[in-house]
Amino acid sequence: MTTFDERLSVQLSSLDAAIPPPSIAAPRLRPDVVATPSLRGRSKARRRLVLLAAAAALVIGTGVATGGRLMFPVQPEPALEAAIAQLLDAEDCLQPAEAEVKIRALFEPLGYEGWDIERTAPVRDDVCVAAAVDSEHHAVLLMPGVSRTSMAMFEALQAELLARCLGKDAAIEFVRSGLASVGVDDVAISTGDRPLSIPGDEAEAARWQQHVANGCYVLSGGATWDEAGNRTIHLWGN
Amino acid sequence: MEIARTVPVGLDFEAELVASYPLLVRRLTLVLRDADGAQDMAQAAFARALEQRDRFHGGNPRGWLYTIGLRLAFNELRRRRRLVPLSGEGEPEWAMASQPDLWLALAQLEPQQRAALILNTLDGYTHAEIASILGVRTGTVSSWLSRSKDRLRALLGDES
Repeated sequence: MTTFDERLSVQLSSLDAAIPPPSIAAPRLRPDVVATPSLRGRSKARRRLVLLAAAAALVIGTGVATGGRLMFPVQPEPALEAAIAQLLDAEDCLQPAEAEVKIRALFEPLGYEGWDIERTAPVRDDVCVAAAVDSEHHAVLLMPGVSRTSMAMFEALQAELLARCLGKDAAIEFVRSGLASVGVDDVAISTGDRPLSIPGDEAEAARWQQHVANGCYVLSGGATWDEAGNRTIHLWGN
Repeated sequence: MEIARTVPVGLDFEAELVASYPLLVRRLTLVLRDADGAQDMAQAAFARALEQRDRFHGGNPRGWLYTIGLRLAFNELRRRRRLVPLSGEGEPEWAMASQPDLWLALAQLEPQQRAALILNTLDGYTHAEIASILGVRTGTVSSWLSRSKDRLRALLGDES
């Protein structure tokens, strides 16, 4: 890269950084848009799975979320999963009490008599919940999660952290301001040289590791909740 | 602490689109030179990407979203050229407070050349990848990038 290219890159990055953030982090994935006939079948099923999985990914590392149970059941319950996903999909944030009522109302029509709903320990009444289906114990587990708006912001922040190279203080400030822009200002941000979780995809995991090896910070793919239900977001870097 | 292997955020098509959306807004802001217009265009591109996802056959969702967004932006710029401005609008404060010379110099480039330069410099896309996104030949992109940099070098008074 020539000297001019380097200067251009710096100046263009500076101009890019000055662009006002969009008023919304990302448009909502409207069911009426994505549920067109051409989307039925595998794609839609995968969307549901990832929706649940993405929310669940944020709680791995708490050690209490599933009480040692499988996060994703050996025996899938596609009808129940789909119905729960639809509930979550319809709301930006579903809180525990409302989630319990709505999920319980699904059991009988779908043939899941005898099933129960369990809250994991640190679920505060005012948080948004994520859900997982435990086939073996006939239970739906409610875990602390995040709103869809916040999830979109987490994803956008991680994409930016991976696209750039921010040091510890800059990364903390970047994440804090990004979350504040969607109204999330009650989280603690910690840093550490070990990840809380990394992607299951080897190539993506290697990408994160290389970024950290280059001295850059990334979200470590998870959050933890203390016994009072307070959330901490973790940045991974050296 | 044992490392938990999780389902990766971002590998899913829709998650990739969501993650790419803020980037698209910013790229379109530089191409359109209009932050509000860029957000409208990005939302339209996002909706269109979801509606047409059956046409996506793998590869890079972000690049695909860029393709849709940039084509909408180029159409919009062509439409705007046909309109007679009622009054000269001022340059945005955020740009003039950041890199005013570069902002004004970028305006002198053709929109597709501006887009190619942005994708190459900010996103690190290769000439071939940019060609795919913009629907032109790789050689065309190489030529655009070379000419764009020469033009900017002259406009910015950079003699290196």
